[in-house]
Amino acid sequence: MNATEPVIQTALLGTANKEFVPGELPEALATLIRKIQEISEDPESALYQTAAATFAYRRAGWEPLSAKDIPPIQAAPEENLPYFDSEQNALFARLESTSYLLLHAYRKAVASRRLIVPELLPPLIRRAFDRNNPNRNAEQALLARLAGNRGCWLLPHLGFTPWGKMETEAWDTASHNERKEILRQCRHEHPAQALEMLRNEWKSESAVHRDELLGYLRINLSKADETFLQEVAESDRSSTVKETARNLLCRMPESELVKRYCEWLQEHLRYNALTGWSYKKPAYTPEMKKFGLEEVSPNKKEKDEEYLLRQLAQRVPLTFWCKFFGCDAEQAARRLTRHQPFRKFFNLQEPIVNFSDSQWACYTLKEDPSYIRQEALVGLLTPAQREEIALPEKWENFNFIPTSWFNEDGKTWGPRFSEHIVSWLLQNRYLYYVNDTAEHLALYLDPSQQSRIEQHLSAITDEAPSILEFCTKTSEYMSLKTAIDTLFNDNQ
Amino acid sequence: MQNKLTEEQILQLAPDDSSIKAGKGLATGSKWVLLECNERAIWGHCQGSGKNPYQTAVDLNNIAFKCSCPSRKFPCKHGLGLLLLYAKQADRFQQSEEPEWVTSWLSKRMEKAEKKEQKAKNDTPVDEAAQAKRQAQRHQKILNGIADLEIWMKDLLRNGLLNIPERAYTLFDNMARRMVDAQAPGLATRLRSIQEMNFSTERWKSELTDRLGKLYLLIRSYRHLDRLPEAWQDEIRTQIGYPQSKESVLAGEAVADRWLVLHKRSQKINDLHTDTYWFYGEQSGRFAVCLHFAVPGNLSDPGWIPGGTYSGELCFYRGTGLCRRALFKETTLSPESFIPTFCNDLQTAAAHYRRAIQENPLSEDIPVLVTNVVLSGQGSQLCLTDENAHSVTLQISEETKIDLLAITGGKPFSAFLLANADYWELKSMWYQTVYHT
Repeated sequence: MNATEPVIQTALLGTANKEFVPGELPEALATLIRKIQEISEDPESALYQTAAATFAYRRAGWEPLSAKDIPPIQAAPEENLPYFDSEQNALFARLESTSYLLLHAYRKAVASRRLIVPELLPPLIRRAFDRNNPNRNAEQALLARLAGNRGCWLLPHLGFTPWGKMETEAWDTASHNERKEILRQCRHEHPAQALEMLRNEWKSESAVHRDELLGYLRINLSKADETFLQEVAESDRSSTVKETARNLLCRMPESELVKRYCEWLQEHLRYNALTGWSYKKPAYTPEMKKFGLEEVSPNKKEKDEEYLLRQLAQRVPLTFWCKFFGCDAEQAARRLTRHQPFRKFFNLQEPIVNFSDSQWACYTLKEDPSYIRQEALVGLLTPAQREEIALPEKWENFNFIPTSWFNEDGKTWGPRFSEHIVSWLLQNRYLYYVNDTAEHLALYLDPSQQSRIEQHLSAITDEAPSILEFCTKTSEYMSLKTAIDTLFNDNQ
Repeated sequence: MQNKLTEEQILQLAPDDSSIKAGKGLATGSKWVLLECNERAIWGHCQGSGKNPYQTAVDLNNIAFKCSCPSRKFPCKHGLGLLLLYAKQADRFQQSEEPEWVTSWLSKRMEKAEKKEQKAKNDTPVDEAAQAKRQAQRHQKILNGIADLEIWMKDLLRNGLLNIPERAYTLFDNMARRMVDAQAPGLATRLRSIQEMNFSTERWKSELTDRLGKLYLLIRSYRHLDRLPEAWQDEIRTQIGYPQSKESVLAGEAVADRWLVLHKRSQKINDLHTDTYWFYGEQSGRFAVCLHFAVPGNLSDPGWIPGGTYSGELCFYRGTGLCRRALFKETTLSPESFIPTFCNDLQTAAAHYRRAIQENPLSEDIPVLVTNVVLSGQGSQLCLTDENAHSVTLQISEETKIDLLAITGGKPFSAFLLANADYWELKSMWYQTVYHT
């Protein structure tokens, strides 16, 4: 019996349209309603009072329902590892709104073989699966090891797929951007599997997408990739994709392509300390065309034969120049920096970046520090190499740090390089992407820079709010990084 | 000297978000060329863009700000920055004699306070006849308002409630304004709560009929106030919106106990910040609700920590019901908290709920403590289930559900809930004696 239902029905339709007829009611309530109807001046007053009485009656006799048909939620399995201590967990809570520092903390924390307390997991898991989070794959991989059984159990409740299943299961349905992420991660962990995934989808992708996906083979590139890359370089429909494949082949000194480039260049190019560069005019052959060399220079001021040789010169590794000059790598790099062939058009940065040759980059920058302004070279250097470069004291309009400068190994920069970076940034009156720069920089700056930044804070006027914000945030983030390094010390 | 304010309390004083940001920026020692304090105040010189630094002072005994900057905001960023810095790094402030500008400001404040106190003491005795006349006028105004409300409610019911969802906003808002004019703010609040109901769920039909029925019961009760017992007269007058003065509440019977803060709910409507605290007495086993209102620039939140225990005497507002509003005479934070006494299962909790409803049928959100329950159900249809296979429908957000699951891992826990007939709302929980909210 539901005493309130007839009241609700009459109330919804209106007393003008539907007369209230009480259903079968308990005696006490029925008597009360009869009395209300007798004394009420109109049907509306009677219905309101009846509603008040029936709802109060229902509440006053309210009982919990039977749970028979309600599906239970299975309990989470027990943990096998202990939890982090309260201080460490509190630090994770503070890092929730950061990106680079949280990843840094995760990387440090996984070595402890401990788990994050369950109450902190929901926001951390949500952000690890957030499609707008560029670090989500890295966060997922690390958090999987820190969240324990509870984290694993929570995933379906949050509507997410179990840890690690994403790559293989989601590849077919993933968007292009997601595929890039999946391929990037898979390439780090299982390069052969990633190559296979790419090979299977190759023909159905557009040229632009093929080009972007192919670029991820740069990660853990090996001889095993050569066959596929050669196929692409020879037969792909898009010249851009072919060029990318060739660039990748160029990164492998032992590849057939590089060997052939070296042979051609060795055959035609000459250098004499007194007379300088000379060359034997090359004939453009179908084989050259097949190997991605262009016959006609896009620049009218450059001779076609020089253009042909320049293409080759920009595709050979430092080992070629060692052999060519008959000296060691440092000497060869320094000589090439001083005496470049086809001077007007030669782009020294191109082969260095293509081969990701940090040693070559270092020798070049040591020989000619002005190359630092061609940002890509600095990114190749290790922190120790950066200390060896003669850096300029001033750098006008250095108001953001190129992403490539943050070395992937996450190693802290040396004091000299850090000092110069901070000086160049503080010479500005405005900085771009303050929060992002401050957080990212805090991971790399030498700890000695924190006191310097804090001192600088006192001298900042109200007219430079972004510098004020930068200094405040960098100092805060550096303190956080120190806390991470202390609390998640690998030796503890 | 007053206890030092926390950063959160200080930020509540800020007039807007930009002041919070600017104040935080000034809470560094480097911005201040002078930082001094004594037991009465803190003061400092802040170097702005002008030639002379701004002189900023804060009265610590009765929080107030003074600054020589031209900002029209109150408190300005300098005042906030100075107080934030004091909260973070009091050791940066040098103990010192007050400079003349601080002394004169504090003296003026003291003079004003004394005058006010004197005026209160010298106030002419209450003119009871005038007071009774005012009361009668208000009563008549409310009766007039109630008459309008009743006609309007009857019109609604005559035509049916089916089409209310699409016109709820204007419909209830206009009548709520009328009730404010009629000096019946309690009725206005009830109308606004109907206006804010979730009309997208199937439950709205039952909920709307129920709420309108209660509202009608309330206005009928007010008409026949003189026929009711004294406690019910107070209850109905309070529900209509008559205030009970703080002095009269504090003069009532006080219940001394250790009070556990079960939950805190903060709401901001326009510029008015309202904090609602639910308390539970260790010895008395009583529930109480404390409300605190604050407008920007005023510090009213006592900062009771959810899960913390406070010793003190609570004075309840006159009225009826198991959970009434109350005021603390004074409180001290107990070093040790306690676990409240829970109902062992949902049937016992339901009995408590029924008792509360029988005591006061107009009451809503009945506080309930229950232990040994688990979360069950699927999707948004969630329930609390006990080991006797009884369940109640639970109203929690998706976020709270996940937090709850993360903490308990699907195992039994204890809960503080606000119970209504159709659903119970989870507010706080204890898992393995640890409090979470």
